[in-house]
Amino acid sequence: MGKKGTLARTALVWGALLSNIVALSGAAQAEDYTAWRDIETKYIFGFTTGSGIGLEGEKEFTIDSISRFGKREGSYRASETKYEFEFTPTQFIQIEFGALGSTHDIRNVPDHDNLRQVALSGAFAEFRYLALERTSSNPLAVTLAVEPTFRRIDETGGERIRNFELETTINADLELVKNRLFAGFNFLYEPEVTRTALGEIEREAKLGGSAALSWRIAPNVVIGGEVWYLRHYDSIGLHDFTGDAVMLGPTLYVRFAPKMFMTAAWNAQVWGREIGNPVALNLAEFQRHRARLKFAVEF
Amino acid sequence: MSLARTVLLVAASAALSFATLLPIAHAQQATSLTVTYSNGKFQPSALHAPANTPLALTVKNLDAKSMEFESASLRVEKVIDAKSEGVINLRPLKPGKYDFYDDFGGKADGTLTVQ
Repeated sequence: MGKKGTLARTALVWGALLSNIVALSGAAQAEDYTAWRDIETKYIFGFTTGSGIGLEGEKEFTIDSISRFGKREGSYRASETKYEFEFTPTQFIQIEFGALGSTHDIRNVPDHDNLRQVALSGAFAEFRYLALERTSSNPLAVTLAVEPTFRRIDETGGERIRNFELETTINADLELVKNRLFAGFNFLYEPEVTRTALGEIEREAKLGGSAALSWRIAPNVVIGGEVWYLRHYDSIGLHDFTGDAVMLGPTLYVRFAPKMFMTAAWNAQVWGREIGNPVALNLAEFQRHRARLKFAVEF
Repeated sequence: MSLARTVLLVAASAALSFATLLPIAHAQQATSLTVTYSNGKFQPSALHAPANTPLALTVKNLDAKSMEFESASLRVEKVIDAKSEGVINLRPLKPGKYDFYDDFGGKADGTLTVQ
């Protein structure tokens, strides 16, 4: 009953969600969507980031939480939340910075200590530059971003460490149908250096890309799906490949009010491999599921 | 390589990346445009401007309540207090249509056509 019951409940929830979406979409068809106001694309693709950099003069406070669930054995739940202030000083640059909070609930997971903790785990900043802007004759926009991050708590295992990460991304999106259908693409290179509690230095890097499709079903609601391919290396220079994974899942963006919105996304690992370990999925470097929930208020 | 050197290298790369991203200021003369907001409407609601020229857009709010001039495609927003005006400097724009509106709940909107 357990698994069947869960499946039935999941199917019921998705069925209800789908019928609501179809109803909303039907109502939206009756409207002239070419008259809808332009949408900021940065957050409409889930984990994939769009090219948007906000509006000059705009400020925003955001709570952005990413949770990760599931390792091969035991019980694993962890989250990292950004408490973030972002502003756009020019029509080409956006700057963000803030603090990181983390939670860990780990039991009987090989290579990890049993742990339950909530901690202030670090700080980050992000600089985004709009390299190619969308116009009425060019549907493609591209933004380059760098995000240096410092952590005192390990993102995966929750141990005390000193970690420096530099996430660099290319965020591109394409307006396929004016005001209605968007495709998003990310390219990611994320080197990091960690000093462990034992004083050892570890270097690693993540390389990957994503593709997402988002459909604006109502002026304030966007739904879609995304796929990520991620590779992990035990070096910054991408020499020691340790495994890769494919994550897939749905995305949702809702603007509640002109100055307030949320975005939600869920990814499940659908394929993965660990080098030297012939098992299904890569649960050593990646998780079985990840979820994102973000609330933002502009002012 | 020591951790300190690695950190220094990462910080220097970040700073360099950001520095190279900063746009180069241009000293080109700006073209002036004016739009008036009155009785909850923009007047004129259709503006025209030359392409590839910096623009200085003056927004005059004649109403007794403040409004927010906003445009996603122009990538600007500015609150204009009641009975006052503000100047919004726009980058040189490529040819096309750029919508703008009042984001303080008003229904007013307009278009800037660049050619």
